[in-house]
Amino acid sequence: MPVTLTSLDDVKFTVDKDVAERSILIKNMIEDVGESDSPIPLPNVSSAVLKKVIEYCEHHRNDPVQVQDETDDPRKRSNDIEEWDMKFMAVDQEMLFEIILAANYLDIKPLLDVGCKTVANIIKGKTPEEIRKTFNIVNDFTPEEEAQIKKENEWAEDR
Amino acid sequence: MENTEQEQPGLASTNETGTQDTPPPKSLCEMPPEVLMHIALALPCREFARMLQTSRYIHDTINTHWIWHMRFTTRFGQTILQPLVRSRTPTPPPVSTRSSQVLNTSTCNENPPSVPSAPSPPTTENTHDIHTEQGEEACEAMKPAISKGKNRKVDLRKTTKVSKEELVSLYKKYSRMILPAEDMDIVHMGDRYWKMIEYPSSHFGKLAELMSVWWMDVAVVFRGVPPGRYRIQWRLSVTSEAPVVNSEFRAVLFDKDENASITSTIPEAIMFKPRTVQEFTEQTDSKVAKADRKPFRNLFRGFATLELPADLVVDEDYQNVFVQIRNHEGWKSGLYIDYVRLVDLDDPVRSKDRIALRTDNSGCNVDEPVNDEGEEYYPSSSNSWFGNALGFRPNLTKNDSGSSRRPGGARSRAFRHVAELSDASATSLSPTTSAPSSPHLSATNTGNNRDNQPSPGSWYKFFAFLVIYCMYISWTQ
Repeated sequence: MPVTLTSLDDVKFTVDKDVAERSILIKNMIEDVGESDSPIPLPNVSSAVLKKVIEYCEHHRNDPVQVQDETDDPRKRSNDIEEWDMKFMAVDQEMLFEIILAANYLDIKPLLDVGCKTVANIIKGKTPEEIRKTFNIVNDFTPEEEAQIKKENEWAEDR
Repeated sequence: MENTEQEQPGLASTNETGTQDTPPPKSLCEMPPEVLMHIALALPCREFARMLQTSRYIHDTINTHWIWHMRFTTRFGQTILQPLVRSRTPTPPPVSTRSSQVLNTSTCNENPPSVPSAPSPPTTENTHDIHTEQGEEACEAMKPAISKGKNRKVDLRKTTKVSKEELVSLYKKYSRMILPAEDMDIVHMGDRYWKMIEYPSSHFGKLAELMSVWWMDVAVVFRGVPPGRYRIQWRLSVTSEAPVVNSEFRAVLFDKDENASITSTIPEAIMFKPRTVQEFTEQTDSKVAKADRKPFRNLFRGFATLELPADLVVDEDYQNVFVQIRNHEGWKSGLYIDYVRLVDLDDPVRSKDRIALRTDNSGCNVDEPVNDEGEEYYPSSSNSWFGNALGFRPNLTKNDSGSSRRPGGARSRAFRHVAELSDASATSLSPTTSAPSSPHLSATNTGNNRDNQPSPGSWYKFFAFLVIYCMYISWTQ
């Protein structure tokens, strides 16, 4: 049974139920409301982002559902990103952030994982100053605080 | 795919601005805390520490107990914390106390814990010990907990028993990719067979010195090694072939939630067993060592780096790496161990750092424990980085050509074996080996100090030569 999703800018997307249910938020909504033809409003997601998210969900529609538990076995974590996901995430930073926010809102953990790993990969090898520049972060430490925190974390430089 | 981005800039908070003005790029600080935490968990150690330095909001959001707990258990597993957690319960089971005994017996008694900043985790080291009976018992006792821990979720109630500061401190300790001799589990460490000696020229200030031993077993575990390709490097000084020829230089990968005792049942990832001196020297950075030269005594002037001849590949998840030097046959002496390390082949920056570290080390290696004028197993050119890194002294290389050749080490080893069978002689002679730069070694550049091992032969000859020399002096006067 298809499900209709409405984006922030009132664009309607019709997708299969199993695709929509990759989002735990939507899955719970459908369960709560029951079978209904009325569209599901997603007021936090723009159509451009929703299109990307649906593309991801369609590709991963047959993946086993992850247990939605933050304290899930951490051994399963890995920084490897599948090739398809890597290509999927080859977007500009603004879009990357929007996808991450949408995944967080829609509760699509694998997509949130991939997005955060992509950000982590961008951070890899960068100095604190380079990270600030890349992600538009304002340094609000006092020089003393900055020196102190730098000193505290020096040990990690060769780990 | 990309063209969709132009349709709508983003969420309500940013996309309502004028159509002409492009909205400022979103800052990472605008991300909700849970997203920042998620990113923090995906970062490697170095980048996580750098991330902490970017801004106050990010620092305060990700420098939390929960994040450190997650980062710690992701990398090192949960079972490593269990003895610590258990020891803090009101009625600690006997495992903890027994384990702490293992720690005391398996490490050098005189030495303080290697990482003073660590909050003295009493039982964490015991997993290194798989050689003593108590160690094995403790390992057995740990097993139910381990198998339970494997499939269990993080028990957040337990994490409060290990503070954030302790987790950071333990993380610091376990994440090291370079482990000094002091942290190794050396069977028979004490003051007779193996002992720790002060050695200011070492980066770590101490060396493990092999005086004489039959059952040679040196083991250490790198914990939570991130996925990647590595080379294992031992920094050694070898003054006799006995400790290296036919010794097994092993590396075994095992799951971070397993105890090190499991390594006895897992096939090695790397196994290097040099059958000859040449096989050994070919894996070191001593470029000119050749087996067709005379048998070596002082294999290297100073320290050399042995690189095991295969890549260590850690797949997918963090794993523990058990590295070992093992030789349970024959008496051996003449080995100094400085450290063992994993060199990340995929990170040129780190490899470069490590070489720099080594060069720094060598700068002060002017009093290496080996005095062997006339030996020829050294780089003939001291301008190679290997040579520089090892601290080969240029003024010594010039002696190579004009030096006299002396009989090889076989004879001196024969003397040594006799000496080692007698405890009294071994202990009485031990001071000669424990003073790498002692004056008598530097004063005897006359060709008679065949090596700096506790050999009665060398003492006898030294004394005889001294007498003859004095007679010669008095005669010439």
